[in-house]
Amino acid sequence: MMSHLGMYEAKILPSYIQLNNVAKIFYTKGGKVEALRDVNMEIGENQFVSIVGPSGCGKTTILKIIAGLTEPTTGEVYVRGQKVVNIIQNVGMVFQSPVLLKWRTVLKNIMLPIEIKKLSEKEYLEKAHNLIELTGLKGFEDKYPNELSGGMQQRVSICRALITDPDILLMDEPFGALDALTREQLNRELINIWQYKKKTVVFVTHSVNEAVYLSDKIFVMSPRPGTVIEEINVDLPRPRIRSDPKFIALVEKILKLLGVAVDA
Amino acid sequence: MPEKKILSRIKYLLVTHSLSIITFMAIFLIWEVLVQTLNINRVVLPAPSEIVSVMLNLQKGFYVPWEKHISVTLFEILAGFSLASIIGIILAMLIVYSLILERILLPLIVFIEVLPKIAVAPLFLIWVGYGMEPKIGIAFLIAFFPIVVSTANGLREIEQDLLDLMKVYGATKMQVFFKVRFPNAVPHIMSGLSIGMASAVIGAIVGEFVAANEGLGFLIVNAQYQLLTAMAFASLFYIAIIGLVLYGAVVAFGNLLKRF
Repeated sequence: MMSHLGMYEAKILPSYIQLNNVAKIFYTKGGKVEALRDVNMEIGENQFVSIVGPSGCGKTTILKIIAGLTEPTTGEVYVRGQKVVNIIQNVGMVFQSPVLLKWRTVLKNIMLPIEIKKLSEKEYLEKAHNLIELTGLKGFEDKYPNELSGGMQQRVSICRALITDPDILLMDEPFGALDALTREQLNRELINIWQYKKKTVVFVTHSVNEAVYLSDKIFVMSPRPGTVIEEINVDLPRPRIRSDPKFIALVEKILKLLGVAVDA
Repeated sequence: MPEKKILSRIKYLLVTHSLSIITFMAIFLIWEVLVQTLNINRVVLPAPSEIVSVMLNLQKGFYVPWEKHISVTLFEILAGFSLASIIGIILAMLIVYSLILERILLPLIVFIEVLPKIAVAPLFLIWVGYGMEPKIGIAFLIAFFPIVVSTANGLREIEQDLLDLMKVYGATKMQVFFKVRFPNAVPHIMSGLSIGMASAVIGAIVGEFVAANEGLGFLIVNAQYQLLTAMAFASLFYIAIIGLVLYGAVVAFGNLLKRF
C-alpha cells in the first residue's frame, strides 16, 4: 500500500523486508537443532537479493519465515513495514521442485491461485496467456506436466507464482534441479521478467555464479547455525557477462567466504 | 496425426490381447487333448468342452439356473464392495485428519484385518442369518482394509511445498482437500479399490461356502457333495469371469478419472 503513492515513493525504500536478530531452533527427536542465529537482513523494494550458503544453513527456513509459514524462535520480521505474525499476503513462491498438480493442464495449474482466491477467472485468463507467452510456454497451455521437460515445468511454476502479480517473489533454489543450459536460459528469462515487472525477489541458491548473475545484493551465510557472514552489493551493469573479470572476481570472493577453494 | 495415433493404439491392443487370447486357447486345447487321449476320469478332471457345455446348459437332462446363482453372488460382491468403498474412504479421511481417531481406529482396523475371515463367517450366520447379509458382511470385511490403507496413504502422500503454497494463497481446509489432497490420492484410491474388488469376490464366495442355499459358492460345495466336477469348474469359471469383469470395470473407471 504505502509504496505506490507517487513517483518519488517508487524509489527503493530502505527495507521492504527486514529481519531483526532472527533465530530459529527446531526441536526434534534427536534434540534441538539451532538452524538460524542472529540473522539480520534488509531488503529494499524491487531489489533482487540472493541468499547463498552451504547445505543446511537455514536458507529455506529464512524464506519460510519471511512468508510467515514458520515462526522465528526469537527476533522479528517486517514485511512492507508491518510485523509478520501470519502468512503474508500478495507473495509468490517457487520451489526447487515445480510442485505442479499433475492432473491439471499447464493453464489450469497457472490459474490455481486465482481459483483458490476466488478471483475472476475471465479477468486473469488474459494475464495467464501473457505470462505463458513471456515464458515461452505458448502452445503448451493444454499439456499436462508430465508431458513437459523439467525446465518447462519450472516455467509453469514461475507463471503460477506471477499470476496474482505479487510484489514479493520468494524462490527456493528454483533452478537447482535443472541442467546447466536450461539453468542459464532461465536465469536470463528471470532477469527479463524481473526488469519488466518490478518485484522484490528473494532467491535462495547454492550457485554463487547464479547469485552474482542475478542479484543486486547477496547474503552469504555460514554453516549451521546459519547467520549472515557478509552482505555483498553487486553493482555490475546488466545484462551481466559471466566471463567478465569483475564478475569472476566477485564469484571467487564469495567462494572464499564460503570456504571453497576457487573452482567455479 | 490423431488417426494414425488411434490406429497404432488399436494395433497395439490387438497384438497384446491376441497374445493373451492365444495363451488361454492353447491351455484349453492342451487340457482338452490330454483329457481325451489319456482317458482321464471326468469326475477327476472334466474336459473344457464339457465344462463349457455345463456353463451354457447344453447338456441333456442337466440344467443349472445360472442366472439366479450369478445374480445372487454378484449382488453380494457389489454390496460388500460398495459398503467397503464408502466406509473405507471415510475411515481413511478420519485417520488422516485426526491423530486421536487414528490412534483409536487404526489398531481396531488392523485387528479386524488379521482375523481369518473364514473363521468369522459362522458368527455372522448366528448374528444375521443365512441370507445374503452374512456374505455381504464378509465381502465387506475383506475388502475394506486395502481401501482404507491405500486411501490413507494417498491422502497423506503430499509434498510439504504444495501445502505451503496452498497456505500462501490462503486456501481453506476444504480447498486443500478438494483441489489437492483428494485428486492427488485418486491413483492410490483406485489401486485400493481394485484390490478391494478382488477381495470382495473372495469374501462373497467364502460366505457362501460356510452356509448358503444359492450363489456360485453354494454351487461349488453342492457339486463337491454330488461329485459333479464339471459343475464345480463351471461355477469357478463364472466366478473368474465376474472377478475379471468387475476388476476391469474398476481399472477402467480409474483410467476415465485420470482424464478429468
